[in-house]
Amino acid sequence: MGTSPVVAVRELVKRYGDLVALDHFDLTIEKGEVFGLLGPNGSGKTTAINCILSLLAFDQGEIQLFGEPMAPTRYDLKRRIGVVPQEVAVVEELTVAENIDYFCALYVSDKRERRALVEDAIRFVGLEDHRRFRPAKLSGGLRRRLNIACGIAHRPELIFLDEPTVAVDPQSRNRILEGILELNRAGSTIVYTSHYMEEVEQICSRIMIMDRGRAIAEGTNDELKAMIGTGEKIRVEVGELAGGADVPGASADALLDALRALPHVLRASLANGTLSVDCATGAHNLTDVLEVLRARGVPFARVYSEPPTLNDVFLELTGTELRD
Amino acid sequence: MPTFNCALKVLASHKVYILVYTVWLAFMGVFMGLGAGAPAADPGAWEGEQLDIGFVDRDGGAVADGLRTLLASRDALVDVPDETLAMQDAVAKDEVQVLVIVPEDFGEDYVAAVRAGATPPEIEIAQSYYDIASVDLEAVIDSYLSCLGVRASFDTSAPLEALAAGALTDCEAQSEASYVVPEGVSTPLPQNFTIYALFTSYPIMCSIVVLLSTSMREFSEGAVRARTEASPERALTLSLAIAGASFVCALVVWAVMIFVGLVAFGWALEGVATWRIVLVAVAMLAYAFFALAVGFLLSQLGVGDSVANAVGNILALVFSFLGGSWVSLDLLGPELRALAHFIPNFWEMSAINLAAGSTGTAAEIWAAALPDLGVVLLFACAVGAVGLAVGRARLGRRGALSASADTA
Repeated sequence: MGTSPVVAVRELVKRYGDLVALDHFDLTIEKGEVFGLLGPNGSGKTTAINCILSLLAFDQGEIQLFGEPMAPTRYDLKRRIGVVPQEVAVVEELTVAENIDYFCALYVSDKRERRALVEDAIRFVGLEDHRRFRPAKLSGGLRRRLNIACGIAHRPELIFLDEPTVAVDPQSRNRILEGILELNRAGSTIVYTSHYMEEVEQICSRIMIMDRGRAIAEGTNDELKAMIGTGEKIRVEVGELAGGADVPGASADALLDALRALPHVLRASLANGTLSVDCATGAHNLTDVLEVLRARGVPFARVYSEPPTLNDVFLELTGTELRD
Repeated sequence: MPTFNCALKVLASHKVYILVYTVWLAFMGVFMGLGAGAPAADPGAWEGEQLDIGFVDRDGGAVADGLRTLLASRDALVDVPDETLAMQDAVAKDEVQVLVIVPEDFGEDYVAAVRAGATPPEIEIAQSYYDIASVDLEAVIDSYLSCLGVRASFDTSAPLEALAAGALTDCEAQSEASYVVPEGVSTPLPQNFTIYALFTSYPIMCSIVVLLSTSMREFSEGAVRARTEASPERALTLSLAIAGASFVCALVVWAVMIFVGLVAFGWALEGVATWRIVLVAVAMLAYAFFALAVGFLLSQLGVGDSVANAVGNILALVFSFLGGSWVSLDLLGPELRALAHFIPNFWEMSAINLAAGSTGTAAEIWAAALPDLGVVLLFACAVGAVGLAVGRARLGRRGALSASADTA
């Protein structure tokens, strides 16, 4: 029991008629992880969570939470879980404090204990000055924070956060992400879904990339990036070369051909005055690229060299952009 | 329990709806009741009350003349043109409380039918909203026709003129007796309270439908529902909590209606048998349950605030009108009268009218009213069952939609 994963999903299949929403989906999450489910809209993230929470019936497979089979009537397991749905799920007629108290009361019946938990949750999401506000009076970011507070006030061991930062301002987003890490430090296992790869990279200890109902890759941030050939991405602002022909010996096509001929260069493209060169891991990719530019007399402004992102991982594994 | 408390808080937060649909409309009912004039709680006063009667004579014979003379001796006859619109107008504007329409060839047909042992034709009596006032009028007309029938049976060769004159004489001779309230028959409800009770079908329907459909939909669908389903609260507990809060809402609205009615018309209800008031209250409660079922159905349909308001008002208006709460069904066409039987309001009104004016013992009137109340409750069950089916269907569809949105 002590060594059981917090979430164990095996061969999960969910169909809607001919549409296969989850296709033999496997998932294992260990205690204490911040696990990221990353995938474009429609990849099956929310369906997977809804099946795990028994909000949706599934066609095939097995789901265990805390080492026990999950079912709609496993109220003992549900008691240990917190849910922050993608849509803000609050009662519009209640105030901030009343909303948190109501959802907390579904888990904690003792009034005195609950009062302390509600206060902690309000403090945690920074809504102290808004406790008497109704949700309609809150900004989008504050509503999202309230949504989170309603899901975590009862201090669950396992928290599902389904795209909690959609349509949130940067300040609220940072606060939410910091809060999630704080929850994790306090002992909660976090399952975090998003299609924002930067967020997942920032907070998740392990990541699964999903596409079309399947897990296409899983591992830590570094492990995932190591799965693809791209080791370095070089971006060079070449200014008027975007216009093309008037730079001697520097037509776009000729330049790209020269770059593609370099060892380690996997792809090269030019768009909107920015030259993009993806390279395999190499010791002097950047100097090689700049040498080609100098040799051809191509003036350039700023030069960036960056490691690959999860989007690159997704691109290489599926052939499409993560944000498509 | 948390969901029950939360649902009550949500209901109570709709203060504007409560103020407008429950309180204000209840007072509107009081104003309408007060406008009906002095109560008829005392049998003596009841006996002496004079009606404005619109008398439409399509017969033009001696029998109609005799009836006109008889009615004119006790009430005021008002000329009303023999046109549908004019008659409806007269009743709607309260220019007359009752329309008495003597059909063409009524006298001859009536006497012929009596002599042949066939079913005689009837005089049409169209009652206004203040129909309770015309209860004894019907008895007078029945008495006249009875006398006419007796004379026609015994003297098979007598002309109509002689029969009519004789019937008129008989009626005048026994007119005093006809007003005597039989022993053991309790005092009827005063008009003003009866009118108020009939009017409450509108605020009851409006209040409950609007409050429930706007308050409860959050708990029955959408993200809040998903969140509660993911919690350790049992599905049955959640459903019972929402049903309980809805029930409390219906009870509170009903109680407000009763309270306002009793406070406003308590002075007029002195001497009235308690069982009559209780029967009215039970009829209103049955109708409140029907409104509860409609509100539940709308909440399961997930309608928005404006739709809930529109539907609540329109339903309340249509039901009150077609059920006969506001306009006497006698003034409506036969199709609408037939349609009224499919409106729960009709059955509620029937029970209230029984409580208000019927002569008979408590047991007899309760026995007569119980089927009416049963029909109202059956309507409530039927609509509630539709609400349950809609809720289940939408729950399944929502699951499919949310997932297909995710997998699209």
